[in-house]
Amino acid sequence: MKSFFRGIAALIIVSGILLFSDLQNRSHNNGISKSLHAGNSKAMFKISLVHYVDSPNSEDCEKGIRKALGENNLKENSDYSIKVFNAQGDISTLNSIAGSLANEKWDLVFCLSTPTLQVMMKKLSGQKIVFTNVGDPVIAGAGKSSTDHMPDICGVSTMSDFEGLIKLVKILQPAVKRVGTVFTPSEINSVAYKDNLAAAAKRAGLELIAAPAGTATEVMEAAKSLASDNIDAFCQISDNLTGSSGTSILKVSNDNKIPFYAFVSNQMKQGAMAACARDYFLAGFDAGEMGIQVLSGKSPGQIPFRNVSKTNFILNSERVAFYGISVPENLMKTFPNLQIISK
Amino acid sequence: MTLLIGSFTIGLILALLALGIFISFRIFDFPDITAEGSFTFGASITAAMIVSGANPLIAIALSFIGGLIAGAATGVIHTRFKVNPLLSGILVMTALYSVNLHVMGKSNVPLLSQTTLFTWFENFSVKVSGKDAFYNIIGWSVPAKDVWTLLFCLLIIIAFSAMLLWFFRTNIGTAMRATGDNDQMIRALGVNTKSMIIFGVAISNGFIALAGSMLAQFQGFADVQMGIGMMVWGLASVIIGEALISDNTLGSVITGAVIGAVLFRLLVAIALRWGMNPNDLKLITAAFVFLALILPGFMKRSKKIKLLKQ
Repeated sequence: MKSFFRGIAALIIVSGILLFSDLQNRSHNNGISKSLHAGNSKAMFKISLVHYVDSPNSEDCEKGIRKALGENNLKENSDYSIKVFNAQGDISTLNSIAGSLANEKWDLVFCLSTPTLQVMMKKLSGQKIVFTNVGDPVIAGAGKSSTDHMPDICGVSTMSDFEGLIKLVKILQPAVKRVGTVFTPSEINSVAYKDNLAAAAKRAGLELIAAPAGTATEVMEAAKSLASDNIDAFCQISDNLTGSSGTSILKVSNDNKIPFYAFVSNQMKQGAMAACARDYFLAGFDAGEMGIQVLSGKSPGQIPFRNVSKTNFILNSERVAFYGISVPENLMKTFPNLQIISK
Repeated sequence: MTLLIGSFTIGLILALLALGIFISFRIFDFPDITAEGSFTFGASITAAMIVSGANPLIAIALSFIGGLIAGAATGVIHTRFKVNPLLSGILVMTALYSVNLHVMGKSNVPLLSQTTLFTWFENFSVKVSGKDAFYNIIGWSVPAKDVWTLLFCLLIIIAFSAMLLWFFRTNIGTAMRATGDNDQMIRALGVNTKSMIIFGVAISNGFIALAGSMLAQFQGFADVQMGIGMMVWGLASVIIGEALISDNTLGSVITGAVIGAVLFRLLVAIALRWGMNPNDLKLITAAFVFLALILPGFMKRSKKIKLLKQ
């Protein structure tokens, strides 16, 4: 019995510490509806940003958001304060973060990735949420359509430009028949991208071979299985897993001289041949701008969900030569804003 | 206060997981990795059932049965085919990954607009104290539905702990405990230890699936990756509980597992509340667990030293 009380005592002490650190939220009148700029004498926006996992895509989104805030003359620590959370891939931590956020009043909460959005939608009632790094917010349950959605939520989805990439592939490799991608069945975005890419490929008369991978080590095996399946090109969709282990697909692409097309521009630095990129940085930037609209008083319910605004076409001339592809003359005509790099 | 109540609620839900892990690890001394798969299995069964319009209670019951089957599979692979316990857990966990994708049909199922167990709790709160009501608890005002959700979770966990306590005091339950403690002795008494292990691991995973089912309803979606890391958290909760409550009676160890799970969530909440660098979160939680482990021993030693000095 004595040890039982010790357990209860430990619970009480730790609860006490938690309550003590939470003293500033104590109010006698009305719960969370404290003044908008709680705890600050200056009018400073209180923003939080939640990652689900550490991935290049998620980090690029954060950079984009910060850039957008900066370009709109909002300075950190004088115009806004931002608190960044990262669940590090753990769903129970994500729920704890939601609890921690629900405890305070935020001017804006940025949610990066689908699970983050889903937890926050449920737990942060009445707080304004802007999301990005979400493939399809409607599938995630944020609304019925891009205009008819939950009143406190808006954001930028990151559906890639599948038609654009397939068009690029067909121009550079007119004889192409089969294209391949590694995808992650456990990521809902990844499955949606794969399905859309398959549909776009089919419309252009191509066949998409998709190989599943569950962990970083399986990515290379999946890529190898694609290479041995006689694909003419890798059209690698972008998800969290292949985002952080994309280099192993690129290695397979190099070893087998199969051209690599990417949907994100940072894979160009790693050796992709061409990209049709709706970048996560741009997605973050768009979400940041959307966030500023919300901060300046527009209701999120009136802002429709939309896709990343800009698509960048990039081609690496050195890599084109490496794969032995001759650049057709009408390339620049079809893609007038194609960026050509050589390194 | 909302934060405290929220952490208690998550802690109590995950206490079901801690109880499950306590059964396999402590009672049977069986390092069972199936947990990460069966946790998601429970969540995905619940999500699929609720989306197709089933009653949440039926969904929860089926999740429990699903967990039982998964655990039994691990037990059978270990005892009948003589596969190492770790490996048999890994086998079932890996297989469950595909099973979960099939059960849900995709990797993530939202439950936001569906009726779940927690919708019932909220409806109850609306009935008792009105819509959007707040309770004042020593100065903090807290949404009434959070308070009621916590109370119901507390009731659920007390009910399950009591059931577990009762079960392990029955003849079968005692034989199970003996299987973990001294299998040669209990075999000499004519108990089939193999079926005991199968049964025990099955119950353990039933509880874990139950935790997954509850968490999916609480957070409003099921995701195929949600089991990742759960076993470590569950084990940490059990160990914290044991370190705190060093008493060996069955009742105290079960209470210990529950208190450990809640305590663990509270520590994570403190780390979050203090606004530490998000990249350090796991490092800090590891440090917390370490502290919780060594503190009780430390206190005992200092007491002994005091006694010696007198």
